[in-house]
Amino acid sequence: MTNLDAAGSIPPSIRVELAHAAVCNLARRAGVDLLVVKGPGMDPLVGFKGRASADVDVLVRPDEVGRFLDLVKAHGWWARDRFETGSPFGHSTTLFHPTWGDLDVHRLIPGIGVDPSVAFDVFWASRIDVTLGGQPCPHPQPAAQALVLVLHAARSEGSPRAGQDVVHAWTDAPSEQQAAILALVDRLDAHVAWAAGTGDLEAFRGDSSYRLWAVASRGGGRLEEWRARVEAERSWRAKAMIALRAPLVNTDHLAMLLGHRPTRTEVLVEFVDRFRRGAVEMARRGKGRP
Amino acid sequence: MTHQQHWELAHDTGIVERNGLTYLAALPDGPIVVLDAVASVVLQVALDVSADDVTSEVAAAYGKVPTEVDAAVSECLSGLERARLLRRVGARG
Repeated sequence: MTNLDAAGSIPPSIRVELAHAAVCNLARRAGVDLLVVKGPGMDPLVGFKGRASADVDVLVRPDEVGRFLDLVKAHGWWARDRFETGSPFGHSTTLFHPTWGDLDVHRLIPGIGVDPSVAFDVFWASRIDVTLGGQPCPHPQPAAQALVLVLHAARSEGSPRAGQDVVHAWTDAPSEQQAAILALVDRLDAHVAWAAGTGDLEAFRGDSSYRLWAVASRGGGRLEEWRARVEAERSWRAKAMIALRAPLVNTDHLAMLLGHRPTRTEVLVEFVDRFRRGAVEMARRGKGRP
Repeated sequence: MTHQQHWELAHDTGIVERNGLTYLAALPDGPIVVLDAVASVVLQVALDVSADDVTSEVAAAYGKVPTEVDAAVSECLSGLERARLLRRVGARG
């Protein structure tokens, strides 16, 4: 019997499966409701054969997110970023554990229009348990898994795997599965993001979130992204908050690039460089180049 | 009425079997423990038969006499028990 404590010496697929077991075990013991939204437990109708997973993705009941984060931190995970800095959608935060690797904690699924707690209830009501690493791990039912996967693909600009995900989970899905997915798109008001994931975004050109999903699914510069984020917000107060935050440096992202928490000087250099890059972007756009 | 004991995984044990190896973890904190091919067979047998029969079954699986494997089997199982991955429980039969 050999005791291996270093995560690096365990095959990644084994480590990821046991990481799912660890996270689900921890949540169950603490009475936190969560759902595994991607990964090795996906239904074969949804995840294509051989699709590898590098981390654990969970959707936590929104009003239990804070308690769950405190819980995992007490068990050795540390935060790589924050909801506010993790993505333009502010939907998830990533934590790292020396044995289990990365854990993405979602408080909402980008692209779903109904309130996050309503969406969670819909997923939770029809959840299924999938055994991973010998432990029961709650997952959304297969149509909901497919919806989440395609909505993820909608913000994975240029990713070949996201393209494969859409083909397998949607295009090639049986008609009954497709009908069940579309019913969820309606019920959860996910039409614009769904269209972005399935190549029909132009049908929503007049929608306030059109530009945001266009950038997420097709790419664009930082200026384009911030403009889209401002447009997508409904209240003037929220628009103003986004606009004010735009020039600030994302210190969590900079820390990942640098491999350490940035110094004041490094933050200042990045702050100045953002204006330079913005000017270059505008100049390129003026010349008609991407 | 007899009291037979058997081995079972602890409730909070994670387990994955792949390519003849067994990966165990005390959840939720770890670490991950890897059982080599022989230890994996010992565990499989221990989970299948009564505790008293594990040594003889393992010996039979490898064409040995029980005394040749007894020490190794005991060491393996007690190590897993100390790591809180495995527990010995009584069953009324």
